[in-house]
Amino acid sequence: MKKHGVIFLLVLCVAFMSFLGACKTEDKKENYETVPILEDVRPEEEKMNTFTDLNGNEVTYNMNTRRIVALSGAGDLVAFGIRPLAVSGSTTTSGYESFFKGVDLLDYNTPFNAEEILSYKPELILVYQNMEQDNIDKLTKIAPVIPLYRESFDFEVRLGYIGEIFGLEENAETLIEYAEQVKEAQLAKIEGMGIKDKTVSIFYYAQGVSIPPTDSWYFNKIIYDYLGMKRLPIAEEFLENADNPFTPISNESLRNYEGDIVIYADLSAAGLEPEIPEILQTNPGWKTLTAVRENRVGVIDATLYTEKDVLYLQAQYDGIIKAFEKATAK
Amino acid sequence: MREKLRRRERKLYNGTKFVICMSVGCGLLLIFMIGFMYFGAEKISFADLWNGLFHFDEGNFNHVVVRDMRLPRLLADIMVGVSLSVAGAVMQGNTKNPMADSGIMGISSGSIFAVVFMMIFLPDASRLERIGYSCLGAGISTMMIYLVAFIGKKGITPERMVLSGMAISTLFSSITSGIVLKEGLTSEMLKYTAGSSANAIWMDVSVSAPFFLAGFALALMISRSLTVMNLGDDVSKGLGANTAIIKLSSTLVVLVLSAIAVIIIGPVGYVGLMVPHIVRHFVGTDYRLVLPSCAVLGALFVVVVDLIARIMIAPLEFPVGILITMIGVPFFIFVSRRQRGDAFGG
Repeated sequence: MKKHGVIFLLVLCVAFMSFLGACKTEDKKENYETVPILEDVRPEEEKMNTFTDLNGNEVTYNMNTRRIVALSGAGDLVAFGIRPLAVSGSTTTSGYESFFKGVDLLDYNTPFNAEEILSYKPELILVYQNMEQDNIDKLTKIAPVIPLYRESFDFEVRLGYIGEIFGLEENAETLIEYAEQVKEAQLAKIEGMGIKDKTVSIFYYAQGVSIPPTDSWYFNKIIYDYLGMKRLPIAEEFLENADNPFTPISNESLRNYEGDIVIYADLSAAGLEPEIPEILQTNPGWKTLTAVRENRVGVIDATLYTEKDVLYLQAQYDGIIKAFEKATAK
Repeated sequence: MREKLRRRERKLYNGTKFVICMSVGCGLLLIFMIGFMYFGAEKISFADLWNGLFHFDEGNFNHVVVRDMRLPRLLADIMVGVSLSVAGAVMQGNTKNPMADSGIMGISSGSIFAVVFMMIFLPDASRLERIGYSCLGAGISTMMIYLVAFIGKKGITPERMVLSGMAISTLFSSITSGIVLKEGLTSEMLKYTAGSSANAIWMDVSVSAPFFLAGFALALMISRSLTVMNLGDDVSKGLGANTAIIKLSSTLVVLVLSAIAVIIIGPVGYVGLMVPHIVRHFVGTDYRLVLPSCAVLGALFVVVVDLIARIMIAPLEFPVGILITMIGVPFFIFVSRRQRGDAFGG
């Protein structure tokens, strides 16, 4: 009996694993290539360089190397024309396939797998800004390690830094200018829509409706800082309490958090068309919002805003403007 | 003769305690139900409460709060409290295991696995089908728990059942996590990661109600047989009880009520452990008294805890499942220690 039981369990587990393996992934949205297409103009020959990274550490590396593994900044790097051997698996590559042609996606990102990285025999490893020194030390045994700005919203800082690492200052200038142009163009659109002084409420759903924390999502920065939209004082208050983010707001009080424009951030769109889930559509608190009753809730794909890389900038702004258009439609 | 008299006295004594338990329980439940409807993130008046229930005006926000937010949530809490505590009591009687609870024993994990599985691979399935899948998952996990507990020379013992249940619970939780990691977590699935009735809607209540009522009615119908079963299989067979039918009916009750609780609120453990223990302390082991008392006290317990969860950090929500677990874990340890003491004659 014991033997049969064990066999039964094993068969069950194997069946589940086979089923999981067979799960298909859906096709994602079409190409989205608006960023200037730049070339990696670095010469092929080795050129050793000593660089002081953002943590103040000196790193000596071959600045012309193509053997790069990037755990961060993939969207910035490919915009420069640089094609690393492998990049972080969490990178938003959907719609940008041509930029990532020949670039592998790492299976492990946080935590990384040193053996996987080693298998690429890299000459330079680019990591995220907040990587612990212990992990940097581990990776340094494989190849020189340079952390990139991940948290900074300033393209001049982010892109200028990458330009300096690879001696691609001209490419950096072009991209910085492009980022500024994109922002200016969107600001003009906001002016044209006549919504500049409106209050915007962004909600997401996880165990209930809540407000996405400021630093975690780039759309907050774009909407409230770059485009200059306003947040309701009650929402500011909610976010100021560090314990609040990710805590659902009572359905009874939700309407107090409603601004002139309501945006829903879909956390599970993952490159597909974002939508308001059924569980939210039937939520009694959500249904009390005026914007919901008037069918003018803009929806954005939150996963598009997890990275701040310049490659995705136009798509990020476009997603927001499209949501604003829906939210302000008469 | 003296023994007969003593038994009669005890029966009367338990009967009196049952009446007191039910009266006090129902009275408190009524008070807390009114409190539940009155208190919340938004302040409403008694007039709004009354009118929201009996003279509903769709344009009046306070009426919407009363009828579409608080009332379905209250009913959901009552259904979950009754379901989990009655399922726990029946399970404990059926398996003769005082530690049995649908959450601890892994039955809820099976339900959650089935529902998440269905949401990913059959996204168009209706809420009714969801109940079916939840029951199916509960059924599969129950079978596996028995199977694993049965392996070995000693056969099924209460301790082995708990260990088996925990193992199966971990297995199903891991597979569910694996599927979610592979396919991505949708908003709908989040409900099944931490128990909360905050977003309960009328549809949840109305779709689940017939199954809930059927499960509860069946539990009451077999309550006498469960009491007889408690005397041991041989004695109950000698008294003419069909033990196989009773066990099957008990299992059905546990599956349906556990599955209903999962569908309405998500994973909530320990209610089925705590409430029957407290009830038995008052009314003894006669299931004709235990089950109705469990229903009232189970409903009272979940309503009170959810009321606290609603107002403790208002206008934000605290998941009731976490609060119940915070109360349930120390209780579980207490009961485990007592069982151990009993086993050694303590």
